Amino acid sequence: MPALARWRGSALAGLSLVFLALLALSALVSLHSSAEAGLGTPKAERPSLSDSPTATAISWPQGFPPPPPEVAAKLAGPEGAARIELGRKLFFEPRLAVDGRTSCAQCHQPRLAFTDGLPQAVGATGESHPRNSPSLVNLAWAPTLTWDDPTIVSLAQHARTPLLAEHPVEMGLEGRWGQVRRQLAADPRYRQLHRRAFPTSVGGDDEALTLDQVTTALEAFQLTLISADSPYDRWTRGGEEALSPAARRGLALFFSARVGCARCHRGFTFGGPAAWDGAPLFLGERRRAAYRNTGLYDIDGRGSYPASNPGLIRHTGQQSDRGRFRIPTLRNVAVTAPYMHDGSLETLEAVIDHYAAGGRVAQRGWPSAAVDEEMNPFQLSTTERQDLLAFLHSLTDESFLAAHQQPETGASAQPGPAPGR
Amino acid sequence: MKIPNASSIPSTLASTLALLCLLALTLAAPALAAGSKKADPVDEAAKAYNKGVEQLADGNLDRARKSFEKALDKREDFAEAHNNLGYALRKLGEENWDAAEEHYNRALELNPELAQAYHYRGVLHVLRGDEAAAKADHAKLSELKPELADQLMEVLATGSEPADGAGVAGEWSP
Repeated sequence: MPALARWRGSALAGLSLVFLALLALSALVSLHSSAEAGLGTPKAERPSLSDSPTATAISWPQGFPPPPPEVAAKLAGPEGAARIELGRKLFFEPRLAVDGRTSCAQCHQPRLAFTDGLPQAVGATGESHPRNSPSLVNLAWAPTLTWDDPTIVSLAQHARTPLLAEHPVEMGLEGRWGQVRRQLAADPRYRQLHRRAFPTSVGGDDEALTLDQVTTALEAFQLTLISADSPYDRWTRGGEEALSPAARRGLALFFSARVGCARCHRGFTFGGPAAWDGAPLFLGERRRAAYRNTGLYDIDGRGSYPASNPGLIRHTGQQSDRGRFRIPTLRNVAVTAPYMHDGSLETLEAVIDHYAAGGRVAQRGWPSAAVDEEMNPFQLSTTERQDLLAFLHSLTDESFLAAHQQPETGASAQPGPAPGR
Repeated sequence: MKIPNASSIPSTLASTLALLCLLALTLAAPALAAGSKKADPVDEAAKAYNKGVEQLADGNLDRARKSFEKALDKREDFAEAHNNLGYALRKLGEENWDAAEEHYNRALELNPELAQAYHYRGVLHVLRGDEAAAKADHAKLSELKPELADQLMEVLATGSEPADGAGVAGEWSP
C-alpha cells in the first residue's frame, strides 16, 4: 500500500510540524510572559555588594561597608602586603626629607591619630604650612584628600605634594629625589622590600624606589590606618557598658536636631560623604556637601578671608566656595587638638562653643551669606556640654593609637618640631 | 510485516492526532495562560504594590496596608511588599507592632540583603526599647547601605523618629 503509506507519512510529518509549531509558540509565549513579569516586578532597591571577595592583606572592620573595589585592589595579594610593609618603613623614614631627619610621621604622629599637635604644620626647613595637619584615619573610604582640594583623589597622587612641594616646603625633596632614592636603594632592607612589592619592576635593584613606587607604597600603608574600635564602636557592636551614661547622653545630643553635629559628621567615618563599594558617585552636590563654611572668617561680612586660606575657591574659582573646607573626621578627635583647618581653636570646648554660637561671624553680629546653612546656633546646659564632650572622647580608639609604632625604635614619634629646627 | 487493514488506519491516525494535540495544548496552556496580564499573579502583585507605595507617599496608611496585603495575596514571597506592609502596620498603631515585626522578619527571610527592612525593623526595636536588637540591625545596615544606617543611628541615638518621618517612604522605588 504505497499510497496509504505516503498519506500516513505526510500526515504524521504535518502533525509533527503542527506540534513543533505549537511548542515553539509555547516557548515564545513563555519568554514573553517572563519578560513581562520582569518588567512588571517592582524596582526594589538592592544593595551593591562586590560578588568576588578581594584577597586583601587586611580585613575590613565589622560595621563598615567594603571600600571601593579599586581601593581594595591596591592592597591585594602578596604584592599588596609587601607594599604595605614598604610603605610603613618609608612613612617613618627620616631620610625622606631634605634635613635627613623629618619623616611623614613628624606631622602625622600615630599617638595623636596621625596629627602633630600644632596649629599649623611645620616643614623640614622650618617653613610653616597655612593649614593644620589632618588626621590619617579610615582613608580607604575617603573620596578626596586635603582640606580644600577636590582634585586630590588618591594618596599616591597626594604624596608628591609633601615630598616635593616648594610653596611651602614640607619635606623639601624637589631636585633632590635622585640622591635620596640612591641612598635608600643602597639599603638592603629596602631592596628586599622593593623586590617583593614590585616584582615586575624592570629596573632591578639599581633602579629601585622610583617616585611612583614610593608614593604607591606610602598609599598602601596609609590605607591600612583603620580606626574602628573606639568605645562608640564597641557600643554599636552590642557593648552596653562601652559608653558611660554621660557619653550615651552626648550621643543623643550629637544626633539631635537641636545640636545637629551629625548633619555634617556622618556615618562610620564621622566625616563628610564617604566612598564605599556601591556608594553614590562623588560628584555634584555630594562633592560640594563635603566642604563647608563654618563661619570662622568673613568677619566683616564682605568676604574677608585670610589670603593663605581662602578655601575651596582656591581650586574651583567659584565665589560661593570661599571659606569652604572639607568636613574632617571626628574619630579620635579628643587627641587631635588644635582644631579647624587652621588650628585656630585650641580645645574641643572651644569648638563646641564656636558651633553653639553659630560661628565667629554670628558672634560679631555680621550676617554672612557664605556661612553654611547648617550653622544654626544652639544652647547647651553645663551638663549637656559635658555630655557632648564625653561622647566626643568616646570616639578615641586607643588600640588604633597604639598600633602604629616607629619600626626602628618601637616608640611613636614625639610631638613638636624636629630638634634643631 | 503486518499491514493494518484500511478501516483501522483513520481511527489510529485520529487517535494519534488527538493525543499529540492534547500534548501540545498541555505544554502550551500554562504559557498561553501566562500571556494574559490580568491572570498573572506576579504582575497583579506588582501593580498592587506600586499602588501601595503611592498611597504611603500620600500618607494613606490604611489604604497602603490593604494594597500591600493584596500584593501578598497574589505573591506571598514578595519581600518588598512584606517590608512595606510592616512599615504601614507599625505606623498604624502600637497594636500592630507584633504583626509588623513578623512582616519585617519574613521580608528578610526572603531577601537577607533588603536594607530597608533592617532600617524599619531597627526603628521598631528602638520604639520598643530593645536597643540591642536595633544595634544588630544597624550593624548589618552599615555594611549594606551606610546612608540608611545613618538614619537608623539617628533614631537609635535620640530614641525617636524624626517628627515628620522625612525620607522614610522615599526610599522605596515603585
